[in-house]
Amino acid sequence: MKGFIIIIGFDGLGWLLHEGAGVPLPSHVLGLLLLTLALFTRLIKLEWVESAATLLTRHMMLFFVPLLAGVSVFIPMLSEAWPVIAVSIIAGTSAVTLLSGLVMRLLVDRKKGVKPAHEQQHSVF
Amino acid sequence: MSSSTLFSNPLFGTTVTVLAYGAALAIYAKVRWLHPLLSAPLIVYLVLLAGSIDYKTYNAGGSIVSFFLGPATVALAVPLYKQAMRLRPMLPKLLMGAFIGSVLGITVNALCVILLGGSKELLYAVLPKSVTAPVAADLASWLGGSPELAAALTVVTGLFGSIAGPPLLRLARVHDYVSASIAIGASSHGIGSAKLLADSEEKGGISSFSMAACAIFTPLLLIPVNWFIL
Repeated sequence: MKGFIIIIGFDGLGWLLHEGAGVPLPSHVLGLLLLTLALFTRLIKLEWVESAATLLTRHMMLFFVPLLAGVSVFIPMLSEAWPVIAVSIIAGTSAVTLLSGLVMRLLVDRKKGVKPAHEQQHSVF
Repeated sequence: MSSSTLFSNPLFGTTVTVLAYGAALAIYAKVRWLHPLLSAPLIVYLVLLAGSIDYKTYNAGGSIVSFFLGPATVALAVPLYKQAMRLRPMLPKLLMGAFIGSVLGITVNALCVILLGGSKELLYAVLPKSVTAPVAADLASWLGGSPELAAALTVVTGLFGSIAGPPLLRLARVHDYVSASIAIGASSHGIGSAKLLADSEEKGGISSFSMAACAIFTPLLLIPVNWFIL
């Protein structure tokens, strides 16, 4: 429960900074930035938030369902703009993948070993 | 009790959402090409259509489920931190790669819409679509666009990138898995990372790191874009 309180607290802090102090970033993104900083500065210990964060990121797909079901409202707009959307998804995504990969290949000239993973955490997003 | 008050009870929306998600996962276990992110919203949509319930009524409960996107976005700090600790020796290169990926994502997405003459509304939804969906939705509404549209475009981008990305990279002779994983994470966010994770933990970990780092770089890069260009 402690983890959830910390995470929701950071989310609220982000909201406060966005709404109250006018920081020009979306509130949840601010919360993410602040929690990242707090973890790296050891202000917040990983163990405090790890299990709550894993639960939240693992079920991220569920939290998306209402938003995605709401796309039906945009069907008129989508039927008009589909060529732009198709190009940006097919050509755009291919271009970002390829260019990032090629630039990265230039950077990784000397590969260094990485420690094996003890535990993996992932989300589908 | 009339049917409209029955459906506008928040419990209706939350129940339909959770059941649709459960059904979508069960279908995915059998039909591997039907991603739950496509089938679950479709099930909800069909239920609403069958009961002639409008989205607003459903969303009284649906928005309770969406609320958790906020904390889930904040929670991305944890995988970012864990992967950063694990990948420490190559961190500078990985960060540089993710940063370049963010710059490319914004530039290419913007060019696609601007060159083809898409509307402002579309631009705001397409611009953040290479970044993980909760952040993309948050960024779209911050820019003045629709979070629903951004979420949908982001999911389709991730699905396309997770399928087409790896063969494209092989074709371009990007053979080392570090470069390939960073590229997939930057372009196809969590859906691409999940696909790589099925391949190997190492690739999935690097890709998740790239996704999470882009979730920080992209919003920061969008601040000046929003101020000076949009």
